[in-house]
Amino acid sequence: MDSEQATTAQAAETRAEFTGNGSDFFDIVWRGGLLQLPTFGFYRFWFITQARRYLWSHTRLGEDSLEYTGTAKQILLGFLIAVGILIPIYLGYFLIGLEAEQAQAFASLPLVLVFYALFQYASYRARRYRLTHTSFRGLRFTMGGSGWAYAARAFGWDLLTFITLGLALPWRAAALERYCMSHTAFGNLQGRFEATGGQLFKRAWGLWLLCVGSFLLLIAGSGASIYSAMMQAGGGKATLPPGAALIPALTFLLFALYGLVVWPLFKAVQLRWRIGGWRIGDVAFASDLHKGPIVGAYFKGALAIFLLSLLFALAVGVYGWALGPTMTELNVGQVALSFFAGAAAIYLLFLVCCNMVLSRFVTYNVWASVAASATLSGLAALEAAAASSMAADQMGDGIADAFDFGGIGI
Amino acid sequence: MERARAAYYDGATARRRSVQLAFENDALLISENDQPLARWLYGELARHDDGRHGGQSVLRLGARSAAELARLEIADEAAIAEILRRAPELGRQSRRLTLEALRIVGWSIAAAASLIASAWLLMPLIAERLAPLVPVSAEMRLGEVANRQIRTIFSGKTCEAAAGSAALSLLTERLNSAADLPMPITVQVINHPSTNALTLPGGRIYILSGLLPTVASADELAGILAHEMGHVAHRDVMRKLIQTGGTSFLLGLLFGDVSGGGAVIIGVRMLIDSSYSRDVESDADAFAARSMTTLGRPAQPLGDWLWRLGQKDGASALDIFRSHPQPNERAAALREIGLNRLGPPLLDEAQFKALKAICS
Repeated sequence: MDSEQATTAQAAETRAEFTGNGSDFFDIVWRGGLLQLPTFGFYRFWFITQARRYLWSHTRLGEDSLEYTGTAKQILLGFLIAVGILIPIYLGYFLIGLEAEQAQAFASLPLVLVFYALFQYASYRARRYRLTHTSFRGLRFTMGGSGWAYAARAFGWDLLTFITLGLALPWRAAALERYCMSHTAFGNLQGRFEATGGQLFKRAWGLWLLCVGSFLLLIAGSGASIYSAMMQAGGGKATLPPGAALIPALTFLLFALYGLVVWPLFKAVQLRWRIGGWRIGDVAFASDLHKGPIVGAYFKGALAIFLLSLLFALAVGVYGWALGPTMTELNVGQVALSFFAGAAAIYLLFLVCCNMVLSRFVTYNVWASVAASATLSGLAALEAAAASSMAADQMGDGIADAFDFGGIGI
Repeated sequence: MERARAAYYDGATARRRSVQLAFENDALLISENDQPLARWLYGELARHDDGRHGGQSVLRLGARSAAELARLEIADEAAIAEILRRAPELGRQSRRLTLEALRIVGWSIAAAASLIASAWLLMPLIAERLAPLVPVSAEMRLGEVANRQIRTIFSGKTCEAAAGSAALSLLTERLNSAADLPMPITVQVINHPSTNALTLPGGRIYILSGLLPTVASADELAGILAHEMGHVAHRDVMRKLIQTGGTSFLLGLLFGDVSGGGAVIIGVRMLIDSSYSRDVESDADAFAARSMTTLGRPAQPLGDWLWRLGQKDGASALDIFRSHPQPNERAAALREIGLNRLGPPLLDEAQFKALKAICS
């Protein structure tokens, strides 16, 4: 390759950049977290908006950064509408339950299905809201498609994933991302998704094998020890084999491994694969996301929450211990009441602190690593993009927010 | 400062234009190659999330009169200072944020106060007015559902020894004749070790068999049964259902959105419920006392039984959360009720013995 060709190839590649810093972001996080206490959580709409504005405006593609144009009031409106939709569903389900339980006590499976469908619908709408309120170089992204069509696809794929013990997961991810991206556009440049399920499978099959294999091994181990115990019981002696005592500990370790290592690893592999499949017009995305920072982000989040739990459990203990001597036969009620009120306040503060920690360590770190890992080629093609007439969503995340997915979604 | 360079996007295409800025007296003139593109008045400038580039802050501006997404990005420090001097409102971001936060806190507290006041003061009133309006047939139907759930929880069988059942029906019939109940009632004994009696919607009363060894006389048992009939007469279960549903709903609106706030809701609701049900229990006691005196029997034995129960339990730290008021207070109130004329016993010794042995 001669040097001139090499230069043009390089010029066409643009490295994305993340220009934020953790302590500036944490200023938004702790302020937003503490303000949720006197506002009974309502401040979170403003907090999420500020956090998104920070992350978007510090993500730079070439010479320009993204801009988040959503407002807290839109998300609040979406939330109120979602509450308005959910209330009749709850009440309707209550009435159906009254009738259905005449036949069988405690039947509630259909409600799970209703919420599953709403959840999928909501996650599509949430993505659409964020995307249509993302602008770049004075143009916004648009997204069409239907949340219900997406929910139906997700349901089919989830069923298949369940039947195949997770083997279909890569193809599920590809199909759903293809649906989203094929309805995405930047101005008049149409989006599409070019990565395939097979590619993700090639990168992640080891993790799948690790999960399913270790889980099957655990089940087989427990089964064998129970079986041998039963055989011995037949002979008159019912003792478990010495290894059986380890099974609960092993189960715990295994699930800790899934949550702390396997899940972040899969997340890293999947994000890299997903970004690599994005196309907007002639602009192609790529990512060289490493696994280390993602695993590190989740690990830091888990460790911080573990330490916070110890700290706050200690706080409740000390508070109760301090109240103990003030109790006499006459004021039992008042003392119990003040203990309850104090413990509730400590508990709420704990929840708020957990959210702060997750926002700072997980959301922020993952965003920063992902943003910095992206490379765009053919960015010059954007010069030709013109505004499309499709409008942005006027109502925010709606149901997704009403469900409240643990507060780490940005 | 007179001129500076910046990047401009017109909001209709994604083309980046390198432009010159000229600071006029009342407006910012944006031109490309000496061709004016736009003129933005200082008063209508809006700031849109500063970015950063190469360690340097980038001011991002829009204008209310321009296209919604038209943007001007200025990295030149001197030019940024000049704009902030001419449009000082743009520099007061943090004051605006503080004011906004204060406003949100104020409104949230007002909304919370209104919801809690509704839960505490209005819901009991609504439940009280609404419960008598619920048709008996609807309550009976609800009772069927509740019955199935209760029978799942207390998996014990009902006790139906012949002599005991006859005595129970006799007692129920006599008490029923003195009470003017809005619906037919069924009284049954469930084989379960707790010392308790409960009333379901639709007039279904269950006595748990653990209670039977603790009663010393037919009058004590009659008092307990009359107390439960009081709940039926006042339609307390319906009231409680409406009130609990209503307060959960109101408090859920308030706390439901702090993730995991459920524990707080349950606690607050227990407090509200318990303050309310103290009155409900005292009213049912008063009803029991009236029924007993009408039949010419003393109300005091119910009080004695409650007092013995209270002695056994002792005052526990959780009293404030218990739905029933302290047994001792209730016992004292019942003991003050006098009796004008003494009627025949409701059950004779043999019948009372048979009733106590209904489960064997």
